[in-house]
Order: sequence, then structure tokens, then C-alpha cells
Amino acid sequence: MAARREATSPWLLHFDTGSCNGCDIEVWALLTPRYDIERFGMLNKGNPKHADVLLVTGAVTRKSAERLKRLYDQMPEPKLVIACGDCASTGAPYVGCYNVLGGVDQVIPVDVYIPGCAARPEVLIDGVMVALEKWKVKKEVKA
Amino acid sequence: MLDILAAIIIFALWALVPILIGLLLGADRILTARLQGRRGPTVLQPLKDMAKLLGKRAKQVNLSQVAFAYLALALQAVAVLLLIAGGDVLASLLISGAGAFVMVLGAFSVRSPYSSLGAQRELVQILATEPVLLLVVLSLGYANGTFLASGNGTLLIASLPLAPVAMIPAFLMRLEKSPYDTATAHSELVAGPYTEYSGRALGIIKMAHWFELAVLFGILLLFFDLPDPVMGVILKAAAVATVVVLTALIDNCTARTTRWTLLRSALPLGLVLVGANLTTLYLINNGVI
Repeated sequence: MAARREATSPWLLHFDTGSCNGCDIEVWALLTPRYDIERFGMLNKGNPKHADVLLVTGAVTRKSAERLKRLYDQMPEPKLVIACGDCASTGAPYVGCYNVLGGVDQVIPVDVYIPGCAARPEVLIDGVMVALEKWKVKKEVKA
Repeated sequence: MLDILAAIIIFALWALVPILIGLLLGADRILTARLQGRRGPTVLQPLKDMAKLLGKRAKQVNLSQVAFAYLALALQAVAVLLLIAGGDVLASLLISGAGAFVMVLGAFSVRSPYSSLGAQRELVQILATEPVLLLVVLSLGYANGTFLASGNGTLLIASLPLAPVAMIPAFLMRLEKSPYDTATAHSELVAGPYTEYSGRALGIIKMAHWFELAVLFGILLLFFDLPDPVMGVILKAAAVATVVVLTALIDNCTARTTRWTLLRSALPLGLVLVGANLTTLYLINNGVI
């Protein structure tokens, strides 16, 4: 009961690790009246300490890796990480570039991978919902 | 026996305050969403947010930060209890003001520049609202003959119509509306004094803020007391609904201003409105007009 109640209030933190901004625009589209993620209780927070879900867009560059790790560490438990789009999921098509480490899971643990180039807003909402199922498991493990 | 029953009712009402404020904020969020062409969350969303925050692990920067959060909550909760129990309104306002200062101290207790900026904004807000609220309560005491909330029973809005109007900027600020830039917007800057709180500690400091709102609404409702309790409750509900709609409308119809514009506009406006009302009432009472 408690887990279900908590799972309806995800606060999101968005971080761009080197994206082309395609996925970023789709993430911001979530806030518009067309997609209105607030109806699912989701809020966009600019502060890792207030966030429950980290939305990461773009392949992880060497420069952004440390910042990504620091943001992840600042989020209080329990927390979820979602890799938004193909770049964040696998690093493709930039794998092997001198300045790219790869997907988000090269730096921090990822709970849900969302495919797409760019990831559609509907799939992003679905991804957060899938992630919230994991939230319940994490709460139970903690308990 | 009657005293025990009265005490039980008072404590039950006190325990209900966070739920009532949560529902009020939920209605406010729905209203704001509808004004922006969105569907918005359910009315229970702020309560769900609070339940989630209280269940999360807190990452504290230092111990004093968390201590200040609990102290702020205790002060605001005592202020609300005093108001519900029919105690001194002036004391309630001052205790609530002390709670607001403790919240500022909590924000200053960490070395984050954003938290410090938020604390300074909070101080400007206190500077802009507290003198007006103090004058409102003083005028309430003058019109009523007592500062006791239980000593009320007449429709004070009839003799002090401008005092609730002067409280509107305070409501805009305390409901964290955007005309005054400590709004619940999208960046660290505007999250203000909450920046360095997380998890359960954030829930506690938010709860303190909810009780602070309850004090503000409690003072407003004192102007709408009627001898008939049923009509009184209806009138009070209408007054709260009017404030929520009005603040949401102002929020959505005005551009964002700086905190200094807030200080320059809200403080003189509030003081002049209550001052003029109080002077008129004094002249009427003394038979001059």
C-alpha cells in the first residue's frame, strides 16, 4: 500500500551527458499541455537532492561522466535511473569515439532503457511507469 | 467532561491540519493546471508527495540543518495549535514568524550558495509580509477588543474590509506563486531554502511550511466569524476558495518580478491599506465620522 502510494509521486531530474538535444526536446515536451506528466504526479526538479528518477539523455562523454556520477550520488535512496534514447542506452552511434565512454550503464547502474532516436514522449512516460515497478521492489528490499 | 471533549476536538482538528492544507494545495495545483490548459494531478497529489518524502532516506549536510527543520516544524505546529485552541492570535503570529526565521537559519547552516540565496530571498519575503501581518493582527485586536481567537464571534470583515486584501501578497508568497520569484519553478535557484534538504528532512521542512500556511489561513478566517456556526463554516470555505482562485489567477496573469519589486510594492501597499482601514475605524468609533 505504502509502496503504491509512493510510486505515484516520481520527481524527475534530467541530465544531458552529450546528447544532440533530440531526446532533450522530447523530455521537455513532457511538461507541455499535450503530454502533461503532472497528471501522473511527476514533477521536473532541477535538484538531485529532491529527485527520485534520473533521466539521462545522450552518450556519456568522458567530461560528463564524473558529473553524472556526482548527480547520482547526490540523489537520496531509493532512486531510479532511466537511459533515454539509443545514445544513452548503448552509446551508439558514437561508441569508439575518443571522447565517448559509451552508454549510461558504463558509469552508473541503469534501471530502464528507453529505445528510440529520439525517444518519443509517450515511450518516456511508459519508461517512468515501468521504472516505478522497480521502485516497489527496491522499497521491499530496503524494508 | 466538556473540557476533555473540547480538547479532543481541538487536537483532532490540529491533526487534520496537514491533510486539509494538502488537499488545498492539491486543488490549487489542479486549478493552475486547468488555467494552463493541462489536466493536472489529482487533489491528493501533495499528500502523496509528502508520504513519499517522509519515506525516503535523508542525505543531511550537517546535523544542525536537520535540527532546524524539526524546530521549524515544532514552532509552526505550536502556532497552529494556539490558533485552533482559541489562544492569542498575536502570539501565534510571532511564533510562526520565529518558525520562518528558523527555516532561514536552516538554509544558512550549509555552505551551498543556492541555499544561501534562497535564505536571503526568504528574509526579504519575511520583511515584506511580517509587518503587514502584524498590523493586520493589531487591527483585529483593536476591532475585537481582544487578541484571543476565541473572543471573536462577529463578522470582522464588515469593519475591517481592507485587512484581508492587504494579506493577498502574503498569500502569493507563502503559496509560492511565481509573481514573486521564490516560486516552485524548475531550477535550483528558485527552490530557495529547500535546496539542500532531501528525503525525510525535506518532508519535515515542507510540513513546517504547510503549518505556516495554516497560520496564515487561520488569521484570514478570523475575519469571517459568524454567530451561526453553519453559516460561519460556509463563509469561511468561500473565503479560502476565493483566496486560492485569486492567487492562481494572479500567478497566471502576471509576469515574474524580482524580490525587490515585491518589497517595494507589497509592503507599502499592505501597510497603507490596513493603516487607512484602522484610522477610519478609529474615527468611526470616536464619533468623528
